[in-house]
Amino acid sequence: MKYDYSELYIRIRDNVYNIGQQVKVENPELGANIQASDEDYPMFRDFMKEAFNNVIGHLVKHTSLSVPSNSENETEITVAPLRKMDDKSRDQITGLIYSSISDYVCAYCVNRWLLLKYPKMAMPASMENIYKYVSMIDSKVRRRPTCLAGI
Amino acid sequence: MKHKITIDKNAVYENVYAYTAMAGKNKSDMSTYAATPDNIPVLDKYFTEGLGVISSNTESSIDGDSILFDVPSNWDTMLSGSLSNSCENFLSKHISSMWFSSLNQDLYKINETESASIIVDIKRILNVRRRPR
Repeated sequence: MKYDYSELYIRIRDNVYNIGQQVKVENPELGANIQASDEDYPMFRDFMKEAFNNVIGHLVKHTSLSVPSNSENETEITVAPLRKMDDKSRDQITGLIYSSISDYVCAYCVNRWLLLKYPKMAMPASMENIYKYVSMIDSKVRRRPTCLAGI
Repeated sequence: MKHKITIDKNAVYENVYAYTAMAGKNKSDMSTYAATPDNIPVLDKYFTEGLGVISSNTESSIDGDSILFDVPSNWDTMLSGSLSNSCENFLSKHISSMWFSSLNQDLYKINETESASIIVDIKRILNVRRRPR
């Protein structure tokens, strides 16, 4: 799954633009400050890297995952399914994981930005969806039938 | 990025002549109230002062008769004309208010209030951002 930082940044900018428009009703200067521009991209790139590191740090416990040496503006995450599944299901789940990671990275960056600009509106990003979809490709847990041990 | 607005000083002074002449006509005392090109040295001082007021209320610096606004790249450049007009209107009102300050307190207050509201308008224009595409 390849993530292009500049594409993610478009989404993030759109989010913070809308938040800024809301804030402008009460405080135009603060609202304008929240609306990120191209000059803010380097800071957001750092936030995106942090967010991907968080994802990798959490996923590594559940799945086989590799992060190839990436360029400055993109990251690639490989989540290897441990369970046998057909191509269709795998593609579907891959799509779900891809979008849940994108959503998390965007939410994380918006939250970090708001903590700097307007902490009142900041809301921590959740990894709930990533866990949910990754668990679908996790290996099945085989337990010993301990309840039969006495027989 | 820097966005340069060059003020048409003559247009500003023409406005000042018009505002002050109107006040002179209303007060039936043209010679006292109406500013003329003979008063340009005084008006120049008020003009410079007005540029300073804009600069201190916004993120900008002054370069001769121009104002260099420090705006982010997502500032809506379509509003450049509005910004220029607002700056000229502000300067016209500010100079008029300063001109009236020693002549008539009511006229001073009216022009001062108007110039203050134009500063708010200038800030509002500078706070507009383009929607990301």
